[in-house]
Amino acid sequence: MNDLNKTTDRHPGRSLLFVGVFLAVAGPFLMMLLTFAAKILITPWYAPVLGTLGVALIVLALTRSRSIWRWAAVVIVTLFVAFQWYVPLAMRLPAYTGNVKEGQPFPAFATTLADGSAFTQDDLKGDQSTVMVFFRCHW
Amino acid sequence: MIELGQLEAHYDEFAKRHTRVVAVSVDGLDDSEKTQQSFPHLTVVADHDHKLVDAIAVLHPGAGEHGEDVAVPTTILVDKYPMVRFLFRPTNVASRLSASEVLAAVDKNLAVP
Repeated sequence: MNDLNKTTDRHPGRSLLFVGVFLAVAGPFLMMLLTFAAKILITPWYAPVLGTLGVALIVLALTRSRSIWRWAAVVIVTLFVAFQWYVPLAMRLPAYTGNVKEGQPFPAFATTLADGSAFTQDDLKGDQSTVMVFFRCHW
Repeated sequence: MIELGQLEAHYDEFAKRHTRVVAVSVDGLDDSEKTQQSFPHLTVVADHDHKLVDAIAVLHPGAGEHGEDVAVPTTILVDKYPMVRFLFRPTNVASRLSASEVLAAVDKNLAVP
């Protein structure tokens, strides 16, 4: 027991450092897990929030024992978490201000289906309702 | 394409509600044909001339990965008359309605009285 205490005393706050680094990298991993494994598409605010908590723990670890490695961890992890905040903020979309209004007829249009045939607002009439999904992807 | 994959996987749930899913992008015919083959139960629109996205103002100029124009992620429910019953614009590019949320919106806004 005494040996264990000596080891802990030799590296005060080291567990805080490890947990902090873990939290900082957990967000991006969680985002990949949710997106590609669970197929859940939500704004990943949890990543920078977890990362910020991680930075706080690393700073706390630094107050327990100052070393060049802990200073380096603070700088690197802070930059990494700043990037995690930047991503969702930069990906914000403006509110819709177009002419589609609930309770109003769908505006007139004339475009093409993937097979090249015509598709207009008249094709929205009939015995089915329509979910129209606009997506960004290019192959 | 995760969003389209989810909608395709729930195809039968939409069919039970007499609702079809129309997926619109500004991709050309070749790319849209690939999308159609990947998601055969969706109706894929190749709005390469921006006629539809301009008509309802959902074009995001230069916002694509390589600076190309793309459609802003938007979900619109239209009844058979065709009146707009619901519009969803996410606050963030990474955010989408899940298929379950779209189905819930169909039940709420397009339910036959």
